[in-house]
Amino acid sequence: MRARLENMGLRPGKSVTKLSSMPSGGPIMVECGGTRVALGRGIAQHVRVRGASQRSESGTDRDE
Amino acid sequence: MAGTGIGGDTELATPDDTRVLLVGNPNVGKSVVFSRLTGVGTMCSNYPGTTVEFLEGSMRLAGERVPVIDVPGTYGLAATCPAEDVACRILDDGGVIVNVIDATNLERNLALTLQLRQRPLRMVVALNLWDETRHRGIHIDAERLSELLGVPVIPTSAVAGVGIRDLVEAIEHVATSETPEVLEPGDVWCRLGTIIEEVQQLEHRHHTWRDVLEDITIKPVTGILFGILVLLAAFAMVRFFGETVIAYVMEPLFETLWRPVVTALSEALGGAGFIHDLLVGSYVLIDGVRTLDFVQSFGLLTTGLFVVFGMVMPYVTAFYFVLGLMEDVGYLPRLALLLDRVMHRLGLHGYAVIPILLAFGCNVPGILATRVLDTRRERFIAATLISVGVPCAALQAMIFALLGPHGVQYVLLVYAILVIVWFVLGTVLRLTSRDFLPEIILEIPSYRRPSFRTLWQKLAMRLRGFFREAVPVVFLGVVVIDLIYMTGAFDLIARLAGPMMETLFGLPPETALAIAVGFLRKDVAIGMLAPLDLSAIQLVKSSVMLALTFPCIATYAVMLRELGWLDTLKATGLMLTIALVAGVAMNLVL
Repeated sequence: MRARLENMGLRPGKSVTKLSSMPSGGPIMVECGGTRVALGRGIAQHVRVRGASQRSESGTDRDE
Repeated sequence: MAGTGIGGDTELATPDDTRVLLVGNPNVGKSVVFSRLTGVGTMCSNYPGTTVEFLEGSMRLAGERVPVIDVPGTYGLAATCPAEDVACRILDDGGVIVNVIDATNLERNLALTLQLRQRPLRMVVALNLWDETRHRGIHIDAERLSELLGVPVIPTSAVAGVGIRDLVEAIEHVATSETPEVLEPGDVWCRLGTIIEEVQQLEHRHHTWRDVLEDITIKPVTGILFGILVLLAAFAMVRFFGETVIAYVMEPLFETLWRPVVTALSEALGGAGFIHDLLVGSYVLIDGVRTLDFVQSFGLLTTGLFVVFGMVMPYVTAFYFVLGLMEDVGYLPRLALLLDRVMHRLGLHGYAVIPILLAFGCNVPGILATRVLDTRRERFIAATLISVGVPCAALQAMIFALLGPHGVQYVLLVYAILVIVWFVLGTVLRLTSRDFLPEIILEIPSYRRPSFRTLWQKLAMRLRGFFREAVPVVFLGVVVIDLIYMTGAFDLIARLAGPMMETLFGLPPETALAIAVGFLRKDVAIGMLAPLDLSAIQLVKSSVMLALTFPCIATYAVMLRELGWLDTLKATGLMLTIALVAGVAMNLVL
């Protein structure tokens, strides 16, 4: 799972932007390094985000 | 440039070393590069032992024809899903690599490139979507990138055909040269960072209409509205195209050109008998006239051919075209994102929406398309839901024709009941299967201008597949129904099941025969209900029953092939149970 996300460009230390979020526990959509990815809520909950700035961009520290 | 399918080419002594493999992330325009390199005449293969499909074609390289394979898209060389596993296995078999990368998303794409460079492979990098970089304010130093990677890097815009000639030259050059030295192992991500910093510069990007469209289509409220509009438009297009082609092309063709042939053959065969009934079918009474009917006669050359070409093919062609368009524009992943939550209630992922959409045209390609789903369990659930609760275009057309005159509320009632049944069945399937359903991880690619060349190639390939799969099954079905008819088994079914129809469902005994015929052709079966003089509610009930019970024999055969005996039996059991429950429930409520 971690390898898959990393190959898709979602890696520790990268900044991510949340673009959309489906209601009632649906998937969320994020952008990271030019790639847009839809993630199931459960997976997204394992993505730890650190220090969000005003523009809702933030450094991440991902942890599978 | 044109070449034909190359399956089992024995001319090449070591085909594995000379073949060209297109490797890259999903959604980088790999298929467009493929169609540019190979021209027409490709074929779709399954990797042995899997259900993952890939395209195979051929191209001329230094005067020789070599195979080209469009390897399934992969993000890395560690297999994390069936498609990636197949990609890795194809790579292991050798060949010249053309690594197609998306220039607008260099960083992610180079991750795979660097992993490839750690293997002893001859390779070329095609820096695709090169024209897009300019609109997006991305500047890439392709020469420097080539130096850093140690392999040729060719900028291409495959949709416009730009850079393809250079790419072919580079492939020729690489194919005849030594394998480049492998990049020494090291931290891929670290090296990636250095390369990106050195070769790529980004300008500030303006908000474009694409971003606006993007926003509209992925936000929950506007996205769902947009999705409904897209689906309605798609259905309208398919029905319009299908109906137009049937009414103005296929039916006139069959009536004016084919009928004289069939009539002459019928006379030559003496107008009756076993061979006659098998080939031409039996005469039926239409408006009091004894005639051969392309729908009801059930001969191989009448009903067999007409069902395939006159009834199903126009819809299937239209469906595949619209689906291909939605695929190439990049809309489908967004639909999967929007519907993921709903589909989870049925034990499926958002992207199961693709086979289900297809099934509304014809269940056969819908069930074939369940192959795109990752797990066996999802394939079972999707195939069962399709065969039970997704009415095909032919069935829907008949429901409209039969119930429309009684009022549109009855048509809506049929759909409403089907939706309820669908969710009940889906919930049961979700709760009863123990397998873990992994969560969605799906790249949402940028919207792209579709390439009509690729669209056409894909349409032709899918249609060939449809004929290969569906034609033998329909013919077999016609033969089987003829044999059953001759033994009188249908009358027996009607007589045995008839009383049950009355007590359980409140329907006249004759409807049992219609449902039995529904096993072969749903539209024909609904036609059989017309002369029974049923009330509107009875028509609603029997329409629902027909939709719920056995899919037509073509669908059934495809299910058998895709799911195997055991799961098909399970699906059949579920189907009969739900039809029984729904039938009794309708009798009590309506």
